[in-house]
Amino acid sequence: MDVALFITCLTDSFFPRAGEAVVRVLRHFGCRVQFPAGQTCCGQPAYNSGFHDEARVLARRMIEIFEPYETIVSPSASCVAMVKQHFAPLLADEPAWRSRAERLAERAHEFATFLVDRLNVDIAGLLRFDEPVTFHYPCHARGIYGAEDLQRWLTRDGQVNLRLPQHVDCCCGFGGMFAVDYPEISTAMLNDKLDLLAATGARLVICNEGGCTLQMAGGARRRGLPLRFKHIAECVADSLGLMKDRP
Amino acid sequence: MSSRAFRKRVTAAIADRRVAAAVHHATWHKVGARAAGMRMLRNPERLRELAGQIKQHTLERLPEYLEQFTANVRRNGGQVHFAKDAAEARQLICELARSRGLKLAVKVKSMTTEEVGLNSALEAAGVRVFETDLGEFIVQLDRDRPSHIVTPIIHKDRRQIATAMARELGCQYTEDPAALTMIARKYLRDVFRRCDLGISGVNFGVAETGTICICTNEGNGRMSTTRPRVQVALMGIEKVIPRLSDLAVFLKLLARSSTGQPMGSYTSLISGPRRATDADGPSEFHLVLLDNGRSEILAGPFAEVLRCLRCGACLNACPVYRNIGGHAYHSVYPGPIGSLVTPLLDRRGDHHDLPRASSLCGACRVACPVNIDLPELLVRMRAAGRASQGRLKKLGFFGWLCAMRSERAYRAAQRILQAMLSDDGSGWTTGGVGPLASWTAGRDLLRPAPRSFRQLWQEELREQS
Amino acid sequence: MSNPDALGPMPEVNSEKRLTAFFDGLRRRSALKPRTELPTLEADVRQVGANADLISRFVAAATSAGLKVHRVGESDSIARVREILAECGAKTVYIEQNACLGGSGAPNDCGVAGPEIEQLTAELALAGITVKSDTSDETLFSVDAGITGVTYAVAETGTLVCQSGPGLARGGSLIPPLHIALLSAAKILPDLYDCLALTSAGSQLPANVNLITGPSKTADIEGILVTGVHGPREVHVILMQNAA
Ligand code: SF4
Repeated sequence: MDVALFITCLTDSFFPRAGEAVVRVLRHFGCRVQFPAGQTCCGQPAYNSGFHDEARVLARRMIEIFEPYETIVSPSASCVAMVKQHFAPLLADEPAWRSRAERLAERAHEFATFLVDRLNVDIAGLLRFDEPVTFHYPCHARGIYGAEDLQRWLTRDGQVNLRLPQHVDCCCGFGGMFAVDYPEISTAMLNDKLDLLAATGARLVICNEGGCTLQMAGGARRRGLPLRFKHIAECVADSLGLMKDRP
Repeated sequence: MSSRAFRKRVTAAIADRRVAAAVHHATWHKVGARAAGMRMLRNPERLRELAGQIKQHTLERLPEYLEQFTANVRRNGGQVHFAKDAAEARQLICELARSRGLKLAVKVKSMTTEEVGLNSALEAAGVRVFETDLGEFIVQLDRDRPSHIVTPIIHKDRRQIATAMARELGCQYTEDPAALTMIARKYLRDVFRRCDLGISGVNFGVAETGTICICTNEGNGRMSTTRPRVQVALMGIEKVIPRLSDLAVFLKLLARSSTGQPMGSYTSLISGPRRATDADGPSEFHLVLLDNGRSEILAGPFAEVLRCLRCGACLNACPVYRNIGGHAYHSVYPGPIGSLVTPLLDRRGDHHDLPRASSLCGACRVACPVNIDLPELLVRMRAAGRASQGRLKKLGFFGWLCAMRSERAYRAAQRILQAMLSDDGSGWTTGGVGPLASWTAGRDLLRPAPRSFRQLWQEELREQS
Repeated sequence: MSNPDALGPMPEVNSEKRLTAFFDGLRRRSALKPRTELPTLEADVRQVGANADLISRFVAAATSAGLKVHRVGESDSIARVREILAECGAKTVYIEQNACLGGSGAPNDCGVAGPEIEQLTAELALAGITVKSDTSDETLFSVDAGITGVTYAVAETGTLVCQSGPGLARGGSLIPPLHIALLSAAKILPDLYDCLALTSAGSQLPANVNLITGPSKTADIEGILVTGVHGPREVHVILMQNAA
């Protein structure tokens, strides 16, 4: 299967290892991965901040770049949600663009759901951890996958020592511009979240969202909490030995 | 409220560990209770859908349903009044009290009467007013303000309550919640015996029967609508529903959303004043229909907020509310729904911060029994208030857009970001100016990777394909 | 907000006209188009079907709502009322006039299984309890317990439905610290939906219908549950089943 990778700005700049893992895992399961070179941002920061003219410019741009591809996969559920849920309403006044947006929405997939639903991969069956793990459920994945899905992907009887955090869907406080517009609130929310994660006793946190990882890893480091964060693609790639060359 | 005032409130709220602990404890507890209550239902999601649908349907035909409702209230022997704004509502009710010589009013907890500032107007008109919900009673004693639309003293611990009650009522100091409750009971019993005016809000107004529905747990709602000789219900125009059977949907959701209970202790369906042969009950029933900006909301892009039942579930679910408490919103309506309704009801006020102070996590949407898409509406309101965004931010987004419109500019921006961020030697940034200072005040910032994914792709990954 | 002290004259008294004008304005301005259907409810709303074991569902739901349910045969009901009063140390009771008149057709008539009011009164008097049946403030604020009938009950939620009407004081189930409700099992409806659908079937509702689901309670102070705030601290349901 031919797959176009939509890397997203945060993964591109901050978490290239997660992007690499996505590529290697997709290849492992027989996909041919392409990287549409012109891609930048889906416009989510502008959209969420109420800068909708700017968001529209980038939505049209993204449609142009990605519509030649049948299947688009991204490591970020929130950026996929932007494409799937917000592009068409954003372009509602431009019928031609709107229907192009709707077509793109059908072809955009979040990485883990793509593995499970399209490639029929049993993620839980592949994962190998030599320590207890916990996870962060990214709020913007609502409508893409649920916390129960994430939990299911990480659960394999007797194999994965999954420590369920309390209030599994508690927000990390990132929220894009919100994190710098209202840093005190954002940080207070972050500390609540870190407390919940730290209370599980696990040190490895599965987090599939670059923004959330940026937020939580930064908070953990500031507080001296021994938490590490990993995208589920990295976990699969590591378990399959696909990333041997790079730790 | 200016942006600076909002920020000051937020800082103070987060620093107040006592309030923060009380609100955290209470909201987490209620989130769990709500989830457990909803799990008991055969099809909770379908019920939320139905509830939203019934409300939306009613809003789309509001004049018809209001007409039917008011005609039926009259048929039941009630009198109907209309108040176009808060001042009219206050005048109407004060005039009612004056013309009938009413001097002692008991009140059922009602957000709508808070909204119009009824208590102080009545007091000024010479009517003693007693809040009878325990929480509201304590708020009134302590000259405080409610910080939650269902649990008004969520921000107070028992020591503060005990102190206020001992000081204002001259009773023995006790921190025992049961003893404190009994002191209030005794005190208000006497008031209930003597009162002549009962004032409530309305949870639902049933069009087909002209019935108002009032839900309480303490029994103060029943007392206040049974004991006085005159009863006044102040009802926002959005509270009407078509059929009595629709109540089945709402009642199954309302208490669960508020407290997790399948049903509150008392659901009172009131259809006019006492009948000639009734043993007791008020002999006059007045319904005051309140607009106060609602018709304007109905005519605009945020009409969906008028579905709200004021159940409080979105407040309990909201991580922002959990951390800043209700007072920081500086509004009768705090939390996610308050962030929408406050700017809509008070158009002249400066409430631009409220819709922006959200991570859009969507916990509110999942909890809302009438399926209001709160995060989407917050975004829409941010867009509508674009003009009020700071110049720096507008400039920032302009620059950002320029960078994102071409891949070359994007790559250049990546390099600039790299260069701009200081490094503490281990790939992290711990300080800076502007937005960077905001970020690093409470967390460290990971620096961009030495090689972006894009470079990695160019240099290594792509060969393999 | 304008100065609340400045009380102007009462707004135009002709509220009918003002309302009509308001509705007309609303009609003109509303941006919403009527496109959402009013859904039909029953199938999706119903939690408890008619085939369920209504009595045990009711008992379970009522108990978890904090009601104390006593299942008795029709001949034991008076004895159980006496026991409850004795346990609570109640010396004076109010008995709702229409509560127990078997087959009278009164709204709160508890059905053929109920104890006759004269018999109940006589037996309680014999046990040294003062029985009152007037609905004056003096009575309702002074008695230790109120005994009332129930119009319907709801198995789904454990709810008691009490209506106002001739001889049916709203205060009877509300003001005394102890409420004893006499309920015939035949009056238990499966679902809240049934109760509301049935209630609206009549042309006009009684002035007051109360759905009682638990004792009076609050959790306003630190979330700690306290009962008996303004209404009864305890509610006992005498659930009477026909021997048949
Ligand atoms: S918006 Fe929804 S959740 Fe919030 S108070 Fe209103 S009904 Fe409840």
